Amino acid sequence: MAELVVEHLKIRLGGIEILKDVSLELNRGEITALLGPSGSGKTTLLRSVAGLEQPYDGRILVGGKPVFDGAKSLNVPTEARGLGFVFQSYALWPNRTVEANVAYALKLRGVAASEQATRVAKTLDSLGLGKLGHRYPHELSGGQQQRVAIARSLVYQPTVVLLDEPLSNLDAKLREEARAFLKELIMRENLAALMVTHDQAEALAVANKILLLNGGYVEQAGTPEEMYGAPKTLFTAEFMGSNNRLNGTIKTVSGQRAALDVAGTAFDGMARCGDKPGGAEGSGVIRLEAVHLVEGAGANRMQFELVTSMFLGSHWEHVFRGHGLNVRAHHRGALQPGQHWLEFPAEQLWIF
Amino acid sequence: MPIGIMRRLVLAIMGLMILAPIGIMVYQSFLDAPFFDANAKFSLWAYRFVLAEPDFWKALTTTALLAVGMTAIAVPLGALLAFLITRTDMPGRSWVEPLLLVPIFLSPLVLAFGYVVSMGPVGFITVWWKSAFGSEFWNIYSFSALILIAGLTHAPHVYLYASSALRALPGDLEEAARMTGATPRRVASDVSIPMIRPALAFSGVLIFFLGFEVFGLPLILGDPQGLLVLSTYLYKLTNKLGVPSYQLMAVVVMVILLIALPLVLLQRILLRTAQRYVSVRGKAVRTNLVRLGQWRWPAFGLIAIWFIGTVLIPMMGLILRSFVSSWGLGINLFDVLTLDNYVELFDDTEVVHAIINTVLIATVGGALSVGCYVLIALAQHRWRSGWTRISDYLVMLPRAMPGVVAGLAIFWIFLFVTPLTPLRTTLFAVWIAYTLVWLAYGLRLVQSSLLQVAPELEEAARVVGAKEGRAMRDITLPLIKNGMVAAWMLIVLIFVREYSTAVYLLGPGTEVIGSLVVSRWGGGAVDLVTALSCVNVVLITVGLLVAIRSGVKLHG
Repeated sequence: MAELVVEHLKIRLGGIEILKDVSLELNRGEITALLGPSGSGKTTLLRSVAGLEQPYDGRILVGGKPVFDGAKSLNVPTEARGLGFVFQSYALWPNRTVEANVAYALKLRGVAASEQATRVAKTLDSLGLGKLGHRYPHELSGGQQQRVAIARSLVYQPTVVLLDEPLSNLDAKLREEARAFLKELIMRENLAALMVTHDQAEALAVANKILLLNGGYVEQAGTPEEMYGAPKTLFTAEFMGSNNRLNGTIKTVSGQRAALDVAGTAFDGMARCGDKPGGAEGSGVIRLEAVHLVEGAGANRMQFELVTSMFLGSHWEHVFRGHGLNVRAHHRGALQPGQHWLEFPAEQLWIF
Repeated sequence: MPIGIMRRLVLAIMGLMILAPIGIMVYQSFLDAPFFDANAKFSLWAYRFVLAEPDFWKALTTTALLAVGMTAIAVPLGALLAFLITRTDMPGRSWVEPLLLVPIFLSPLVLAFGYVVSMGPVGFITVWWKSAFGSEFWNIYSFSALILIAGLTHAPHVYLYASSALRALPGDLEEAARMTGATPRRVASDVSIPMIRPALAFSGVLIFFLGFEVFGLPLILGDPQGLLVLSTYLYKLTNKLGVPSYQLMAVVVMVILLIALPLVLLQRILLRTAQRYVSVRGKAVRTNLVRLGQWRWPAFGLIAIWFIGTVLIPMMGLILRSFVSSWGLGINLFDVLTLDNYVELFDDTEVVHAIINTVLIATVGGALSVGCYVLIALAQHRWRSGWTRISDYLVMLPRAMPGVVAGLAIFWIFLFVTPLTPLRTTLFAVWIAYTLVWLAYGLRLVQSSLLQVAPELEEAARVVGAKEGRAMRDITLPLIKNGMVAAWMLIVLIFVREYSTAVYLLGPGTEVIGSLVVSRWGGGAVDLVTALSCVNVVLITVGLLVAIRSGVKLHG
């Protein structure tokens, strides 16, 4: 049995349907990232699991026990669900020391003062906060505050931890360290973690599983590799990674393959367009890093003029224009101005 | 007890406290005799009687004229003061500002006494003017003087709203207009003024509304000429028919409520509009102050004249009068200087009680009131429910009741509900009335500090295992501690100043400075009244200094 189960959850806020039908399963030792554009309902889903918002239909089970059941009007209050929650703003109580922030949950559970102290100390130590117990939140750096927020949500040993954009308040450098730290911690403690993020790179890096939400539904769910390498819909393809989009008309669809006509040139690609008839409008989507600079004409190739180039450190990003299209491509080196041939390999070009 | 029941209980008690006094007014207004009269029957007789009274209509017109007149003076003046202080390089802007707010904290009653002893027929200034230039050109007891004084003393209210609107104008909005090519004058007419217009509209309605509530100024300055406004008409009505004419008073109260309630609603709507404009808070440092050039000192002079006329003249007169034994034409000031007035204060047990009671009700009572306001605010806090919405509207009802009316209503409640009657002669009755009258104000103070508590701080407590009530106690309350102390200090100031609410409750055991000076002034005890008023001013000043030292923002 999965540690956290959400079944057909529906929620309405202020008269607006936010989640229309969302289901998910989460096991211990797993991190699921809730990904989606703003307004897609990912934070609402997280808050519903925590009991901070009330759905009107569906079920939520924690550790096999239902905590919300729309059909039975069951809604276990937040405080009785025993989940961990790390807020985007950390929500550390400014008038309490780090220790008092962390110990509060134990105090509520009637843990004896001496045991409170040892457990708080142990948790703070495991998060590298050992010496900061007597400080107040405003005396800590952003990264330290985040760790305190995590400590506070782990000290009572919940099995499910909910994280609302936990990394978004950290600056870029710190964020990369915190990512690794967070992933390692969740695996070590064998927790089931549900994490909201709007940053696809973060989701790919941290999660074992990604749930992409769009307009109140699950657009696609899968491992990071599946989401990135085998998107099933145009929305998923465009949301994950940086892409080129080639608009044209579909010529033929046969089995796994499809052919797309773009400004008079035929492109072979992976069919993702269902049973669209020939002559229908279609789009080819390809990752920036999949576009290759080549010499001369050939299959799935087109000539473009270089417009500008940007140096990104490990590689260059070149911007081309031609045939009514703007195309970007990653390349190891700089390029001379002028016309260049680009190849769009059929295996990496998805046709929607 | 579950939190839901607690919330409902608190709001229900509040609703009862608000609706009972209003209910008794409505009920009494439809009776043909006082409610304690066994023969009282339902009838419209009282309405017919009052509406046929020429004096009532005269009072109503006088009130309307007073409200219009003081609005016409206070709004432009307050807006001008706000502009000079916040947007120009007028000299002394920083230290002038706190002085501008002084009239808000002084009792209008005390100011009225001050005007009488300074500029009345035998006031200090009048007497000195007469000996220097001959007959004076003013008459403090005229209607125009009343309007002028009311307008001048209410300008600070406008100043408060206009200046905060001007300050909230993001500097970058004006700079953006300048960058796109607008001249400073175009910026003012196209950007700045439209943005503070809602604040001016709100303060205009506020002053007009306060015009229907003023009691102290017309009681002292209008009465000698027989000039009555609705509130003083109500006060004088007490013995119109020889017997207590409660039904007539109730009708007058109904008229006041019917006029005031729409105004309160209108204020609420306008305040929302005004706040929509200030929701973008600019952090940009304002460097583009308007240069007044040669007008710098005339502008300063204008403020100085306003301050002298509104604060200095009455206050100096009051202080001087409290240190002389008598005053009139041909008396040498140095022959009559004395401390006797103050010594006599302490020989008068009623006065001593009044001082002690005032301090008690302001400090202890004020703390209890703030406690009530906190309970109510917490009951509404983050509760999406019909109860919250209804209670939000209920709070506006006492706001529409002038202090005199609220005091009267509470007085009747204590008579009507016989088990409560023994409490009528205790400070408890006065405390209830004060708490009710200042409910909307106090609640707003508490609510604004609750607004500053981020919801996720409470949610974090819920998630780690605290029930709703526990989270409020452990997280919310400690976080608003400073806000509660600040609210308490402001309530202390207001309770020390309050006078009209307690006039009907005045009796042995319930005397406070405000109501006692009203009654003693009626008896002509100028010596005692001026000395006691000075004591009141000293108490307010001490409170004000403590509040300022503790960093309390004087405008909530």
